[in-house]
Amino acid sequence: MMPPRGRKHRRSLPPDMFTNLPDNVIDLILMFLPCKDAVRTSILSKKWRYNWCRLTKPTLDTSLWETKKDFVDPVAKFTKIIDQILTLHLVLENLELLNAIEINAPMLRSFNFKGYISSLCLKNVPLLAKLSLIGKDSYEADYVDFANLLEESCPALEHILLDFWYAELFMESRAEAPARLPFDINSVTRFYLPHIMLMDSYGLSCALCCIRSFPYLEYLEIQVYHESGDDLTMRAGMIIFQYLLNSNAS
Amino acid sequence: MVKLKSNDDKEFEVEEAAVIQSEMIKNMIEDGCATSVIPLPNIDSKTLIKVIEYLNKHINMGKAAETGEEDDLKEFDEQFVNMGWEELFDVIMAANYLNIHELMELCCQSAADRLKNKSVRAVREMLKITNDLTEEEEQEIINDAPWAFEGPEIDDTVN
Repeated sequence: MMPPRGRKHRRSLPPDMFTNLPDNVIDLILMFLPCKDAVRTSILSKKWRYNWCRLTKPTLDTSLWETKKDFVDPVAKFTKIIDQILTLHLVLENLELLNAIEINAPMLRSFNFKGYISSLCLKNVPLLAKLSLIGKDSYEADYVDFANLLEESCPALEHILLDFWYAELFMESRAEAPARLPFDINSVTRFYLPHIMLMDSYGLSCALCCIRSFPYLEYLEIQVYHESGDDLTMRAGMIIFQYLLNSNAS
Repeated sequence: MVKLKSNDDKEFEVEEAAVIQSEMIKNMIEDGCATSVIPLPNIDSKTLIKVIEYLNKHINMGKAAETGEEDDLKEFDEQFVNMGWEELFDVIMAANYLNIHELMELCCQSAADRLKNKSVRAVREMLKITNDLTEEEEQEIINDAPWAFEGPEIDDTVN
């Protein structure tokens, strides 16, 4: 980054010109800052205290809880940070370090996860309306134990997006997914499944299990992953899926 | 050509293809309100010259990708934001008023890059922010999120 040219300019800056910028400009600048820096602006002055809270998508990365110097357990540190951010939206991207995350965030509205993880548990998320779980682009099997994802019901959850390669949503039973999810998420109206593999009967049963668990579903979007199979097998898979879907709807 | 007038009464002619990167002016043209000079009461001539320089360079964003001029454009952008804070905020305010999304993003990204990893003291000094918090209030804010205020990357220098 190039430093501003000349000291003259800085000296002539009128006091609090930055503070008095319109909210949408401040929001955009905060959006381009790492979360830690954005949160740090809360101490600049009284006016700045809650500016960062308007950020619709604070993004956390591993550098926040990577503990090089101290010996605090990164998971403990991470959990603490999340607890402290009683924020509305949360985005986690490119996570590799953590095996297990527990999120206790009573104010959380939207949760966007992208990465590799073996266990994710949303504990106290009564306001969560939008959930997006995206696996890393790799051929390794990544999985989220969907059965244990939500500890209790999530009455506000309306949107779900699941995008896991070779999704293994239920760790316990590999042969077939349960008929319904073990928790109550009746409010889901929109469900997105961008990577369905028709030849993967386990993946299909997972998808159907979810669809069955959302009685008030209004919108369903499925993208079939183009498998290396001949057209006939593809079409057969599609027919089977449609049949299952229809029998499910009735 | 479209004529723009700054708040210090200087007129500038800009090609329509360049000026329609401003949503505001694009809408004015579409609504037939841009037949004569468009007065810009919030923008001085110094800032308007900068904005027009940007608009002219970015006139054919789509073409740049085809002809491999992307690097050139990137270099221009880097040079463009090499300005003092006050000038940067003036351009941001002008871009905000004219609704030029790409220019807003470029300048706000530059502001964020300059603030990244800076200590609270350094940011206050660089941007002349009057601190009206008491020591107790400051401590309370730090206690809310102590992780945000510590770390080896935090830089206390002012430039």
